[in-house]
Amino acid sequence: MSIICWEYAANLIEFARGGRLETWERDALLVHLDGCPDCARQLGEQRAFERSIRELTSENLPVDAAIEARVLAEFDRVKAVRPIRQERSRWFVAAALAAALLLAAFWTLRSKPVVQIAEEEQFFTIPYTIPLAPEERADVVRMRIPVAALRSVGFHVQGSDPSAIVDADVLVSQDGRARAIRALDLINMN
Amino acid sequence: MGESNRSSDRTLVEQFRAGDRDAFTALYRAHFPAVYKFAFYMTADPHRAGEVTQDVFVWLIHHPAEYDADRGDLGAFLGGVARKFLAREQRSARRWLPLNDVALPAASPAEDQLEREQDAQLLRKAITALPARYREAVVLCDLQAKSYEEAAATLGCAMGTVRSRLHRARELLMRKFQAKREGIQCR
Repeated sequence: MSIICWEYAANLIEFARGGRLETWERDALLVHLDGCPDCARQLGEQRAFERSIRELTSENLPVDAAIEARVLAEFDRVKAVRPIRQERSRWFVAAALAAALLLAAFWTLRSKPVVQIAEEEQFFTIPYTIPLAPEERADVVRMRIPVAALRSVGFHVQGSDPSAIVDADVLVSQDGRARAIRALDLINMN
Repeated sequence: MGESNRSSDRTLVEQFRAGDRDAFTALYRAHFPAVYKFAFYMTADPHRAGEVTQDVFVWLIHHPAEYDADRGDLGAFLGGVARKFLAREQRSARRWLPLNDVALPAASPAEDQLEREQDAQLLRKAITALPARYREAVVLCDLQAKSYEEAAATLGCAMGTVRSRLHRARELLMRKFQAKREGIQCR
C-alpha cells in the first residue's frame, strides 16, 4: 500500500474482515481497488490473514474439565457458610452500631475539665514560626513547659527561675506544629 | 447478545443470588466458553487460561451483587473481570510460557494439516507478542467475533477506540506473521 492510500486503509481492513461499511464507503473503496494494484494486493493479504484467523478460531481448545467441578464446589462451600456469615455479620453490625452510639454519647456527655484561664492572657506567636492564618484551624493543648524551653525558642521571660515550670496552652496547627503559646501562670512573657 | 439471552441471564442471576445452584451452573456453562477463550487467546496457555477462568467464576460467587444487569451484558461484565485478573496476573508474573509448551491437539501427519498448524502457532505467537491493548482488540473482535459495541463494553472504552486498536493490531500482526512465515520458509 502506498502512502497516498492510507485514507482507504481502515476501510480496507473492515472490508477484508467482513465488517460494517457504509454503502458509499464500500463503493469508494471498490473504485479505488480497481485502479490501485498496491491496495488490491493488500486486500488479498488481509483476506489470507483473515482465513488464518478463522482457522485459529475453529480449532478445539484444550479445556480442563475439572474447572467446573472446582467452581461448583466453591459455590457449595460458600452457600453452606453464607447464611451463618450473614447472620454473624448482621450481629456484628448491630453490636458495632450500639458501641458507636455509646461512644458518641460518652464523648458528647462527658464532663469537660474546667479550665480557668485568665481572660486577659493572650497567645504569643512562637518566634520564627509562621503565624496562623485567621481562618486556619488549630488545637489548643495544655502543657507544662520549662521556662528554659520558652527562652530557648526565643521568648523573653522576665523574673523567673529558668528551671521553673509553667502551665501553658499551646496552639497547635493542623500540620502538628506549635504556633503560639499562652502562659497560664503569672509570668511576664513576650 | 440478544435481548432474550440478556433477560434469561437476568433471571438466572437473580436465582443464583438467591442460592440456586442450577441457575449458577447454567450461567457458568453459558459464559465459560467465552471467558476461557478470551483468557486462552490472551495468554496462549491453557493452564493459565483455566486458572483465570476459574478465578472469574469464583469471584462471581463471592461478589454476586457486583453485576448490575441494567448496565450491560453479563458476558461483557465477566470479560471485564477476566481482563482484570489477567492484568493482575501479568503484573505479578511478568512472564509468558513459551508457546512450544502449549498443549494443543496432537498434530496430524498430513502435510497441509501440519502447515496449517504451523501457521496457527505462528499467528498465536504473533498475537501473544502484541501489546495488551491491541491483543484484547484482536481477541475480542477477530477471535471471539464480538461486535465493536460488545468489545467496547468489555474493555470499557469507546467503539472508535476498539476499531482503531483493532486496525493497528492487524497491521502489526500482518507484519509479524508474514516476517515469521518468511523466516520459516527461508530456513
